[in-house]
Amino acid sequence: MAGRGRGRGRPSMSITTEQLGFAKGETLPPPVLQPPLKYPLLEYKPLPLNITTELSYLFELKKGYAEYLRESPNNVLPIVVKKDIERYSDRYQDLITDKSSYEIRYDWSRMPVELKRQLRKRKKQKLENPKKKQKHIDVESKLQELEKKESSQQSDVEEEEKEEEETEEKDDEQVEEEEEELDEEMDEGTDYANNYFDNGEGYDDEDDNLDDGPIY
Amino acid sequence: MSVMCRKLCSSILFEHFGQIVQCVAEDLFKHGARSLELIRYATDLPVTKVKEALCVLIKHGFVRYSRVERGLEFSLIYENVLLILRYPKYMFFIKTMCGDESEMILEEVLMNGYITASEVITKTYKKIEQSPSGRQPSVPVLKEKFELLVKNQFLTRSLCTDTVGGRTNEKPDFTLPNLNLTAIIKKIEGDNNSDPGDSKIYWKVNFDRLIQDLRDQIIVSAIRRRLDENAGELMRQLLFLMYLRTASWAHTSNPIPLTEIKEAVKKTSYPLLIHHLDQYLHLIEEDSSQFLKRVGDSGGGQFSVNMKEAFEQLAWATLENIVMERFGSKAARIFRLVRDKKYIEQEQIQQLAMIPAKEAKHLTYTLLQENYIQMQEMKKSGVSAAPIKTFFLFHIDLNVVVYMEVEHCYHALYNIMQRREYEVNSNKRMIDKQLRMQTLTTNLKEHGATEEQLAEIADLMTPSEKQQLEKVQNTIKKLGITELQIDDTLFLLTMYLRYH
Repeated sequence: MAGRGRGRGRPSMSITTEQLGFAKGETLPPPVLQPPLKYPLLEYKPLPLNITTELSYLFELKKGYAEYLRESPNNVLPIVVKKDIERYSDRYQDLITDKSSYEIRYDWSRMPVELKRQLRKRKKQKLENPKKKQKHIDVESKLQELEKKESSQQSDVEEEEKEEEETEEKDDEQVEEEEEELDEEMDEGTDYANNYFDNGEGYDDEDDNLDDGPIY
Repeated sequence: MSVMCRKLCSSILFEHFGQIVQCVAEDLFKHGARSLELIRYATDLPVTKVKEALCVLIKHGFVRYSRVERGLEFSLIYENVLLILRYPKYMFFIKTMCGDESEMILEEVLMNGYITASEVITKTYKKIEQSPSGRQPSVPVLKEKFELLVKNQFLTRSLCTDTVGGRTNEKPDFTLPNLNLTAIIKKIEGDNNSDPGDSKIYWKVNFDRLIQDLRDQIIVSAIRRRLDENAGELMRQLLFLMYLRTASWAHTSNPIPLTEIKEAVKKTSYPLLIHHLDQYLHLIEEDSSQFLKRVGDSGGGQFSVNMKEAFEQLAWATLENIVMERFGSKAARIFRLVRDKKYIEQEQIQQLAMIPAKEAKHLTYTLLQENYIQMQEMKKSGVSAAPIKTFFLFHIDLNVVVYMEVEHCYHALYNIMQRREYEVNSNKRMIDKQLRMQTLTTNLKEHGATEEQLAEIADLMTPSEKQQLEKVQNTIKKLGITELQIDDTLFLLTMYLRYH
């Protein structure tokens, strides 16, 4: 015992059980070995809620306000990715939703101009470089493709060239749309984004081509 | 600016403005002021959407921007976001003060952040026209109501500099523009070319003024509940006199002479109050709540309203009630005792509170553990640090407890909002169905459908579904009302913190 040598009847422990409110000889509560409950039982139940007409009215106001704001253009909606198929109902959906951009709703004399969408002119200048790169890559990959297919068929290649020219034209149109979209397109130009996985869907098509092609 | 506060702000914004705005605001909350590029980088949203969200936030006064060397920096004013919780109370207050039309005008301003007078009148006119009550709106009345709101300073001009940080706020401007009424009427009729003469003069809600009014309501109702209706009215008059001579957020009012109080009271229709004015003044002054103080004897007596003290007393009362409801009346007795004695030892607590030693200790330690009371160690100098030589004094640090309780309010509000959203989402199908049925029936009624057809539509919902729906709607309503009530507590506690 640590306190034995000191004499004078000092208690060996610094706190006696009596100090904590336990009588002598009373058994101490067992140690708690479990974590406390996530939802502890309530010793005192909360007061019942009495709903007055005033509170009901306040609640209606609150609900109405929240609903109005949610349905107003203040609720910024994410850009909806176009689905694979054009549906008949889409045409009417466009009429219902307000497609106008957010700029017309604000008085720009009192908002920072930086929050406007960027002007197109500036964008084009910026985006010239990536565009060139993209073309460059396209040519290389196209050449490779051409080499592969040269041996088999010539007429097909011509068709494909036409197709790719068409897609390029479309690309040019899209350039003006959005920065992010372009970024994604750029990604597609690199090998990393290419999907080499062949799910076999195109298998039949190639067969058809063979059949349709010229016979040597 | 705790985690709970952030979560609460975030879910308030989600409820009202949707996910993108929530995302942008949460990022601003986390990182403080930052530029557009950084927000875009952190939130991973398209630039246009971030910009749009910022526009919405700026328009509603939740975000302010300042110009730094490289472009703009945006920062969130989270206090304003929390104000949304109180919007219904402001609207209701205006309804009782200035009438229904004024309430609609205020609602319209709240919905838009800031708006021109002509636009607000046009919109309210259309709203009244469409409302089922069948009232006939009139432009001159609406204009009058609008001017009433401005005259009472519930609305103030929204200046460009409001949302630009760094500059000192200019004095609020309440000058009314000259409105061209005929042009507004023309505009309502569909002529877009007429100019109502107030373009670029925007109005916003003067929250400071509304907060003061809610504060006064608390004080008046406290006195009314403590004494009676007459005393409440006297307090209202005193507060009114206080406005005439004191800055709006001063701790104590400048002295109000008795003669002026008498004159003000004479104009009211409370005969008992006029008769027993001296007694009532004496009662409020002697009351332990100390709302009123006698500061001089000249001119029959000089009185001063003590706002700071009043809110301290109200905060104490709120905390006592919280302890009472959470831990029982015996714990509340201990809490009051500790408050009364400032610093007190364990031994004394059990003696003075007249609670058996074991129970008293248990309750005291529970309160200590839950942070409602604090402990201070006092060591005798020069003696070893053995606990037996140390005094443990219990005391209450009001600021600490109030801050903790504010946190609890945030937490409770957040939990309730989550629960409400869960209830709505898990019963979305049914709620939507009911909405569809409602629109269908109203449509059919307009086209003159027969009773049978209407009954057929009503039968689309099975009885069990109806029961379930009613249950869900009740739960949602209960949760919503609880939110409003918690906000009452939150408001009182923030008022206390504002004064201390």
